[in-house]
Amino acid sequence: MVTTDEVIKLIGKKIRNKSIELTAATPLDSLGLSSLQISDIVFEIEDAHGFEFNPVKAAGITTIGEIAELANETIAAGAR
Amino acid sequence: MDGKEHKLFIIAASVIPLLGVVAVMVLLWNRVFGWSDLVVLAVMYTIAGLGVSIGYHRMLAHRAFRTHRWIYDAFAVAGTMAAQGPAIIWTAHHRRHHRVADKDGDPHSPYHGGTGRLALVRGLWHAHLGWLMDEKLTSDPLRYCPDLARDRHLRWISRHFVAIVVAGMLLPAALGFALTGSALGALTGFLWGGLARIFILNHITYAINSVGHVYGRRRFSTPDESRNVAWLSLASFGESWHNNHHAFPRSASHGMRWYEPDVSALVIGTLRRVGLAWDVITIDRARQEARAEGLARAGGGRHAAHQPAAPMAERMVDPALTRTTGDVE
Repeated sequence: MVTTDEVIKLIGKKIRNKSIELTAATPLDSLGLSSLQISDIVFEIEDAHGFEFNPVKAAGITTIGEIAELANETIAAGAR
Repeated sequence: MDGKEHKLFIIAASVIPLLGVVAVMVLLWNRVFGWSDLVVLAVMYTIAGLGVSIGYHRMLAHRAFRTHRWIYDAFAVAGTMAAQGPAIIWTAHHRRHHRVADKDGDPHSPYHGGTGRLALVRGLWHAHLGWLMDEKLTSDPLRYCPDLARDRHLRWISRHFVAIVVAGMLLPAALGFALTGSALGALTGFLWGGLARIFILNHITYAINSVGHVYGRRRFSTPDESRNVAWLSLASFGESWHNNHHAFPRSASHGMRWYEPDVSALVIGTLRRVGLAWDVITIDRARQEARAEGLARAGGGRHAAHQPAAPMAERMVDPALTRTTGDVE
């Protein structure tokens, strides 16, 4: 189970502007993450939970909360 | 490292080494270039040069051979010391370059718009160094090299890029000190093996992107303007047989004749013989000739149709195609 808090913590470590409040509804493109940082976050979540994001579905993600949602969806689908 | 930081780094990596060369010249006024400086320069040039040629280029970007984990990481770190950008970003740009070489979307084609002599000079500058100044240019690692971005070691090495570059400048200082036992030896070691080395090697590498797509001979009528540039071959460790490389990107050897020296291929061949590298991609003469004939019939150059027709972004629609695994043991 991937929690929004866990994703927020990962992102919080990467962003330079620490004053931005991170919530499930925070839009990802407002964070100014580099492509390298994004791949870092994505694969750290995958590594920690042993699954792989579907890249097509991942491309549709816009907020922090949706990352956790898609991750849990994928993990649940894999477990069935 | 975001676009702005990358640009600032590239400017620093271009200007500071130039100042280093000036400092070296000033020092030379009083003191002759010593043997320790030559050793340090040669050692560091070889480490960083093979790091980029074998590590970043043939091993990471094109998976031309497989090797043990520690050698894989060592090559990636050596390539990082060349100060040409983090491994994952460098590789993403390079794979994109191959996908659309000398066409729209190529990050560093010298055919950058316009015709005439001025456009050519501008294009050469763009392909050489100008493209690295574009803050907005990104080649998404998730699209171009998910296999590498998925690798925890490579992510760590890419994240610690600046620290590794700095280590690559302190190393020649330590080497200079070890060889001479003096602080001056450490300083000139840093200047020659650190700054001057970065300056020389990076311009050799960038010349493959600029000169190597304009001036030189073409054995293969590839659908781009890649050229084989003999005079750059030794200094680039074989990278300048660039037309051969565009014809067979995965080949571990870029030199394809006895008179095409390719030091990187010799090193990979040696690793293979002693059991430290395997699954080395080789292209025999018959395949080379068949491809040369086929391409000659199809017609080459930057206006020719590119293969494969579908870019990676479209292939991503099929999840089966995106399932990649690391190529290391």
